[in-house]
Amino acid sequence: RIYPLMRVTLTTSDGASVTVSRQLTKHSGFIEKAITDMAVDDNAVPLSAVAVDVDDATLKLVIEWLTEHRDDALPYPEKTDEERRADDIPAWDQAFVQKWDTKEDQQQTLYAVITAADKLDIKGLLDMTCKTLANKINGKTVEEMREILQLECDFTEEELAEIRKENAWCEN
Amino acid sequence: DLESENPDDCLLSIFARLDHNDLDQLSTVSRKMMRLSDISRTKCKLFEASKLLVSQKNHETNFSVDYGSRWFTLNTTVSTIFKMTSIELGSSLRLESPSIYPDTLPISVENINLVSPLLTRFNFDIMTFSSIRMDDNFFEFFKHITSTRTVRMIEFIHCNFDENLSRNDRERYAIKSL
Repeated sequence: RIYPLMRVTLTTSDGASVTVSRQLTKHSGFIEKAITDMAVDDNAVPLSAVAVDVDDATLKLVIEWLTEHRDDALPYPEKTDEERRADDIPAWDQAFVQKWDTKEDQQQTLYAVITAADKLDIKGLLDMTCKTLANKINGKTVEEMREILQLECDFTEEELAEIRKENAWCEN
Repeated sequence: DLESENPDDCLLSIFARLDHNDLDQLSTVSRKMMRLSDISRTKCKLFEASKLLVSQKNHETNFSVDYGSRWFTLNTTVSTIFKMTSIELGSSLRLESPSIYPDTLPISVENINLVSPLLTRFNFDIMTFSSIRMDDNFFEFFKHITSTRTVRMIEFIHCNFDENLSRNDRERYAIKSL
């Protein structure tokens, strides 16, 4: 049972502290497990701080998303392979991500939130951010994908030619 | 970067939402992306094609795909580089009367090995098999291109079953008489 008024203090990787409601942290498998592992009395207030390997700026974004999605049903529904799609991101989430696009480091912000959602085990946020990145990659050229993923090519020209030959399947 | 910060499962979750064309591109980004794109192909988005037509005439098996309002035929005569060549929909693709195919033939293992990886990129609405002799290799091929897919209709026109069909396949497909 979750007590919505109970608050949890989270300490970030860069030393900040943020106190949030259990109503939000219940969506994080990592934080809920940490609280369970503390074996505290349900009425204990405040709880001991939970350390999270996420920086303060990213955690603020995570909390903003959790606040909007605090009433989402749990557990988060598992998706079958057929249900994996990327064109069903809710309007609020789209606006949330669009907001980062005004920043110079939009890519870094998206990666940071994906990483945070993965570490904190927030399935809904991870699902949404993975969809967002999939949409950014979709239909792009190799060079554009390298730029988005920030990766260097580690193939030789001969290897690349061989892979392209194997992948060729349609004559236009 | 994303690659160094995240476990493979996280990246696979992203790549499972791409299609085979995207994975082709991704496979040339880096060695790790090639490995992950190969894994993602079993879960990625499929091309939604209207129809697969597998027919046999004059001892040659023809594989044709109706995709995006265009017909493609699979060129099995080019063994080293296997490609689909766009063709116009015309009389050559119309199913002929069964009497023109007095003898069915099985699909060769060589052809099956050539087309199977390619056809697994698609989800077909309709599959039509014409003048094909269904042997164990055919049913293995059939299972491969239909598994985890939603095929609305499968047609068998002037097809028959190979007399050496295994008991396993006879039972699986409820073939009672040969």
